[in-house]
Amino acid sequence: MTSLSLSRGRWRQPSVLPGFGLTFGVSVIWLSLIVLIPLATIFLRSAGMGWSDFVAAGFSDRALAAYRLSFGTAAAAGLVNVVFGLLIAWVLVRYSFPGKRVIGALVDLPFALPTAVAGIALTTIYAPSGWIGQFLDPLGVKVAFTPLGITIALIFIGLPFVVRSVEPVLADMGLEVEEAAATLGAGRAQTFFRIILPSILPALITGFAMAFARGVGEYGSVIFISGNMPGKTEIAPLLIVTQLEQYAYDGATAIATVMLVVSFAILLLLNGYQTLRRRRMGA
Amino acid sequence: MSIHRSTTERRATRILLILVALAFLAFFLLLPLIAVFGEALKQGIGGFANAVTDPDAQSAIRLTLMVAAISVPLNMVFGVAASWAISKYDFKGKSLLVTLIDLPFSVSPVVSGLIFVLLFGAQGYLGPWLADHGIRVIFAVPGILLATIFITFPFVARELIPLMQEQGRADEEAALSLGASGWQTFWRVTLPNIRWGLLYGVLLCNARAMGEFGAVSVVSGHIRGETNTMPLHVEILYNEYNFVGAFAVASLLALLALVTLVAKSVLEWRFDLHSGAKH
Amino acid sequence: MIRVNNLTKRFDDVSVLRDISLSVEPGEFIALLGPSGSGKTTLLRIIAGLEFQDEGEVLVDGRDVSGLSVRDRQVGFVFQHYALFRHMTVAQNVGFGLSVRKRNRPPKREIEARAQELLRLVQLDGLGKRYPSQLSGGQRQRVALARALAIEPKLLLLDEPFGALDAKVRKDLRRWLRDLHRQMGLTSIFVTHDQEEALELADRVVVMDHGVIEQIGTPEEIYMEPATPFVSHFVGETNHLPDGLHVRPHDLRIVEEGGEAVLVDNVFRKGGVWRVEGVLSGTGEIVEIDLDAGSPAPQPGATIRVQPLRSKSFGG
Repeated sequence: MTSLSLSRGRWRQPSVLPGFGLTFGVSVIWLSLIVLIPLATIFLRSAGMGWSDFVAAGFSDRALAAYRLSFGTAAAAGLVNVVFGLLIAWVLVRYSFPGKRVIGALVDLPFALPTAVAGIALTTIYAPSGWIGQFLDPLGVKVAFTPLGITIALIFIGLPFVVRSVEPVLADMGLEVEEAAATLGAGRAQTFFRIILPSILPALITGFAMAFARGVGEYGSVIFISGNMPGKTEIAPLLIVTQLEQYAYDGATAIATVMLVVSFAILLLLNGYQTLRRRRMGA
Repeated sequence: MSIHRSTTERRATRILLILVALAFLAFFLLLPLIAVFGEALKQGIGGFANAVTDPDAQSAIRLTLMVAAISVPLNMVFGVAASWAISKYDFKGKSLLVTLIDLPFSVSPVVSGLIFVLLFGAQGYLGPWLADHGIRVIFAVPGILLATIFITFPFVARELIPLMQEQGRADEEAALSLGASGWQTFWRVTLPNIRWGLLYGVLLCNARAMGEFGAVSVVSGHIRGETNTMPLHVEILYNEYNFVGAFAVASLLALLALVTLVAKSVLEWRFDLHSGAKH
Repeated sequence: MIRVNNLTKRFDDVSVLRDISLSVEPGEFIALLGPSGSGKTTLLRIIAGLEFQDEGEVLVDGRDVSGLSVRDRQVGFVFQHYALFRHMTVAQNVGFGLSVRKRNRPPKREIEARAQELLRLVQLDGLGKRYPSQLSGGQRQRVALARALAIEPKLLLLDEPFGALDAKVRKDLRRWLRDLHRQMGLTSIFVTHDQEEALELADRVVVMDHGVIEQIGTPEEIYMEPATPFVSHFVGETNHLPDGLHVRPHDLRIVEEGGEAVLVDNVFRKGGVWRVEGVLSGTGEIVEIDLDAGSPAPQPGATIRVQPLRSKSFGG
């Protein structure tokens, strides 16, 4: 065994650590069985429908209204979360105040709290007779069973994405650049808009995109507060469920395909954006 | 006007910003949490106890625990294996593999349920074959398990991959050079190195497995006492206007969420995992 | 005896080792010296069995070990950042190699006793119950060494053994390692980018660059008789005089006539000598000259003439 000569275009670098075959095999098989093959069935089924049937089911007026509602409320909630998520991250990183650790932990509540629980709680709060709803109702502001209610549920769901994505970047930035800006004569507002904001913008965009993607697909926290009126407050995931309950499998599949394509497009764009940035920053 | 440090805001601005942040968190996060417990105890501890000890509620709790007890260990083994393969070796297509592992995060829960209906349902690709052999997947426990495993698939791997990549290979190489076998190296060197990160991932995985609603709702069929998990049971009670019952069961899930958050925070503080804000 | 024959290694399409041959006598202390990217660490890791060569062979006592895994090679390897197991005490770290043995695993008490013995050898007795995080850098380094010695290796390999330490500790540890090697006589190879370290410690130095061995020789040979321009540059300081002459700063002296004209730019005391920095009038090259501190120092702005006492020619 003089030479362990391997071809140049080899697929992996040889390693002394044992277990590549086992762990790689387990990963790929489990990934295929649980994720890839099941996901492929959606596209397989869509392909089997024929183009006109697909368009009829996937882009019906009802479906279009549902997309508009889902994407619109997710975008609105995402924007609110960008503003307040940045504020919360800023406060958590930069200032000290009593109870900061508890507040910091609380931010993750939407990750840990089951969505159905959040859904019924929010509905109870914002229903016309609810904790907050009773004060808003006389003012003519209706939250529950309107797109506003859906947006509030999506704000709840999306907040930690923005905070958790901005927080580490803000913490890593350090005070030195800000001190440098100050020595060069920049005021506090100038420093924020010209130094800090550009540095955290990628993290903000990432946080927004993740919150948006999650919001578009969100189901549990929304269906209780949304009212579920076709064409008005019916979100796309609910429409899939409704179609399924009526055994309209093709309709459900077409709508799911549209949503999947959009989510994957967001994921791809985000990956591309991050790769581009990394390359430009040379990090 | 007083002189202040150039890298922070005036005291008044600071206090204002903190108050706005706290008010936002109170309205959007804290209030719903309080609402859950408040509504659950609206009719006193008796109403709460009745709702929780109801046989249907009990069977929902049992099913939820069982689903978590099966899906979490499976994804834990997968997560460790995938992280080992990804962090300890160099091979082509690694970043694709990482992206694919994250895929379930970007799929709507409802769609996650739908794919298993299309595969195993009565009209699905394997439906007729399964029916011939008397196997039920959809509207039965196996379907719930599959949907839960799909949804919680990335959690453990996602925690471990960056951790193990950061730790590198030197510890394992050292163990091997001292004569340890592959398994000895894993059990005695690698596993102790990643134990807290693993626990962290398992905690998050478990919280999601017990709380998943959308995906499970699509495949479960909502058969009381059989295929009803806790979140689904909450929905049924709520839609029947049994609010105390719904919130009582919901408060158990909220309690689980709180325990998860506390454990997670303790891990972060003690072991410096993911401490977003450096103190 | 260790022999390396015609070793070649590529990562993707980049050659990191090209046709490397080397032999190490029993008991020798060898330094692999080179800049980063020279392939020295890769060579060390291939000898250890942590990396695999594409071509060539590694012989230990005449036997080809290329097919043997690192587990079976019985080499002690000291990692650059020590790779101590954080969750184990110092004593457990040192005893690890014995405790994972499949055959003839010594009883627990014996492993502990052996660990104590080794800790005494590296002058860390009494620290066995501590964890690596409670030790200083120099102490961790010695634990790593004790751990590697515990498996009674036939060969000790050290990757940048002093790289992560500060200057003072580095110097002490260097002296200590040299004494330990003398005392034990264990065949050892270490990797370093620090020429001083290599010249001070090693019996023989292997100078590498871009995956090729530039020269193998005793520290004296490497310094006095550099085989290539690279060695002459990398080891010690070197001036370029016309006609491809390479001259050390201390091998230049001032002459009245002849030699090369140098415009003096700066003069300062460097240890026991005057260090004169100037520019060669002919080529504009910067020249450094060390003059006996007893002699008068030339003034900046003056022009002096210098002549090499000894030099090395590498052609034009």
